[in-house]
Amino acid sequence: MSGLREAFDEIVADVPVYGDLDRAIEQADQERRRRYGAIAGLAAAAAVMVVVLGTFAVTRDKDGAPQPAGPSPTGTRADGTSETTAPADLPANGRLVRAEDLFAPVLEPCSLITADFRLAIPGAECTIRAHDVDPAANIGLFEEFPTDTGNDPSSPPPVATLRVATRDEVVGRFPSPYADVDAELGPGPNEITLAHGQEITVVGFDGEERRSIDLSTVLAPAEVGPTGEEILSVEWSPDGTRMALVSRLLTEEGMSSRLWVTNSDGSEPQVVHTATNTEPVLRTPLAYLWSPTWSPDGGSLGFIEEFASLGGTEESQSIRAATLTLSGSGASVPRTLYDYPSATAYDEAEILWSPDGTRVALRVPNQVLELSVEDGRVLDRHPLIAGKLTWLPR
Amino acid sequence: MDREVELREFVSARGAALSRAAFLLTGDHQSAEDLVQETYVVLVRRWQKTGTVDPEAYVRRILYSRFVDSWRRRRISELPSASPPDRPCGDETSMTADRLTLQGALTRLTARQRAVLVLRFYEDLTEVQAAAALGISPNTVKSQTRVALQRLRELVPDAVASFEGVES
Repeated sequence: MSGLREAFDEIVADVPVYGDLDRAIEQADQERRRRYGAIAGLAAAAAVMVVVLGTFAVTRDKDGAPQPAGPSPTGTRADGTSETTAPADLPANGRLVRAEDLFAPVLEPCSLITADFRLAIPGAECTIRAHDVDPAANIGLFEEFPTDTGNDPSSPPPVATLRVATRDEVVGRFPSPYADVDAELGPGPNEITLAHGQEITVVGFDGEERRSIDLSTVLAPAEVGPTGEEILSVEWSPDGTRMALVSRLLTEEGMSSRLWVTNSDGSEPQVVHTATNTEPVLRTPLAYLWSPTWSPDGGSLGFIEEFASLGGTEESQSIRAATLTLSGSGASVPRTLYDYPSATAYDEAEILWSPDGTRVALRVPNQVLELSVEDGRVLDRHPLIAGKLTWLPR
Repeated sequence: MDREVELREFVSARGAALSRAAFLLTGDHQSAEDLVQETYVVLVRRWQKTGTVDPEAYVRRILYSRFVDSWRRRRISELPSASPPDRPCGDETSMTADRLTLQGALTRLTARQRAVLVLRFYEDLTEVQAAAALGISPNTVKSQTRVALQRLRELVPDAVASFEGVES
């Protein structure tokens, strides 16, 4: 039996050596000359513009209305207008920080991952990331993973280790009982919830199972492949009486995702949003949901939604951050808070509701925004936070 | 050492390996040649500007990033069909036929999935190294690897069973 490496070797056995370095040098030189020429021209034009327009420090919006001079707006709001930075007239929520930084002393010897996805501690044998933290209760749940998991595709997937810690000490550490599990603190003070397959399992900080909720009668059966609709993530409501679940279903037509709300025992499941991509005709449509977040009053949910399509390769079509309001019989139609500026796949998108409920934190490429939940206004901007977003209580 | 001499030595030593990786990524000779050439242009630009401290890692990052980005930029009409192969894969008996089928199945994966498989199982990189090369998180590498292998199992069960040692 040969390995995947040998199979690859056989495929490339007759591949010639591509590329022409001399031509590349010539191309690079040409590009450099063009760029310098353009920069020189632009600099001259800009100098003239500064002289002529220096006294008219007013810009205009798309309708021609005068706007205060300042940095150019970036991105677009739900209504298609450009986002602007408004004065921070809403109550403050403490600081937005990387959750992992609060617990740094108890994460050793594992390494965090930097913003450009490298090891923060070169040579570390394991990486670590936060699944869930509660700064007020001084408890965090982390997943550590070996840095080198071996490259044999036939070997079983390596097992991650879940670590529970206060800021001073590790209080629980055990191998994850499931592969690719989403883990969440709660609902009880010393409990962890694990979403896997079509089940929700609650374990203690020692990893011992306490109870399990079987959702197989609620979720859709398998249509394609061995598994049916799978639960990808779980998020407890602030009062611990309800769960928000994100599920994914592969069908012959493509992939759709659903956002559910259930009671704490899994009863009364309600689908509050279904993400189905109907755009592509000739390609396989995909719809993703992730990062569910509860408002502090438990009356609303936020999430990230991406539509993409597969045609041998995958292309992202759109990504948005949205919220919906829950009611007794269901939920409102989701309201878009933010459309990502272009159809770029951005797996690191994350949304988190603020403690006072008036705003959300949203990770976008290269920064973190604070948006008003009322209208998506950008209230504040922060440098990129590479890790789990969390609000420190004031 | 003169920068250009250094550059030529690097390309001479690594050109063949880069070409093979490019072919695994793109699946056809013309696209692989374009990808390698584009990578060289970016490399030269960087080399002229600063000199490269770690050419191996830098070139790998250029090659794989440009591959994933280029797929995202392409028009829908230029993309291959998402439907599975017309002919049943289980009929293939020889190892060569299995390899050809596996090669076809690779084109049914997303760009990122294919890049992850090539980095992990052809370039023998760790998940963290593959993540750095692609500019994605190690967890995404982990999940994409799992999904990619599952997709290969569905498309070419016999070929996958042959290198996994498992009957599908």
